[in-house]
Amino acid sequence: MPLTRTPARLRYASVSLLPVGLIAAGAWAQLPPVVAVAIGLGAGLSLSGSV
Amino acid sequence: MRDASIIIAYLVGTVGGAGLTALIAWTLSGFAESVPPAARVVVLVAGTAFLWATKHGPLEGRVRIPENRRQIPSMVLTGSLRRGALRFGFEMGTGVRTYVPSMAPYVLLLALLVVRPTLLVTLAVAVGFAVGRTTPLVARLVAPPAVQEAFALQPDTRISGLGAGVLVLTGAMLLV
Repeated sequence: MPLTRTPARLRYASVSLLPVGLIAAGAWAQLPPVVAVAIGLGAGLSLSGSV
Repeated sequence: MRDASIIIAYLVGTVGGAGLTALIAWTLSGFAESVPPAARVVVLVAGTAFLWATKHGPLEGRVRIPENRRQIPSMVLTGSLRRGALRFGFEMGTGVRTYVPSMAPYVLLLALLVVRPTLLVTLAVAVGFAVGRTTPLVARLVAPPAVQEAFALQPDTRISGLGAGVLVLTGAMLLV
C-alpha cells in the first residue's frame, strides 16, 4: 500500500467506525432505533465500499 | 447552494426508496411473527453465512442471489438536476435497482424479514440506509480533498463486504 494513501485509509476506517459506535451506543442505551439506524448506515455505506 | 439542494433532493429520494423497500419487507415480516426468538437468531446466522458464501466466499459465481445487474438508466436524470437527483436517489435507495457489490444489504433485508421489528425501527433502518447511500455523494461534492480521496478509494469488497455483513448481523441480533 503506497504511503500516500495511508491517511486516506485511516479516514476510511473512521467512517467504518461510525456505525460500529452507533450500534454500541444504541445497545448500551437500549435504544433499538439507534441500532436500526446504525445497521442501515453500515449496509448503505458498504455499497460504496466505505465500510 | 446548488450542491446543497442536489444533496437534499438525493437524500429525500434515497429515504423514499429505502422506506418503500423497508415497508414491503416489514409487511412480509408478518409471516415471521410466530417464530420464537431463538429460531430467528438461527435463521439470521445461517442466512448470513449463506450470503457470505455466495457473495464473497466459496460459492461466489456458482450460486447467484437476486441482483439487478445493470446501472440505473440515464433517463432518470433527464429534466432538472434536482428532479434527476431525486429520482436517481430513489432508485439507489430501494437497493434493488442496480448492482449490490456487498452482502450487507442482503443481510439487512433478511434481518427485516426475520426480526419483525416495530414500524419505527423499520423506518430507522431505512433512514440509516439512505444516509449511508448519500454519504459518498456528500463527500464528493462538499468534503475537503483529503476526505474525497478517502471515498475515492475502492477497498477489497471481500473484506469490506464481510465486515459490513457482520456489523449488520450483530445489530440485527440485538434487535431480536
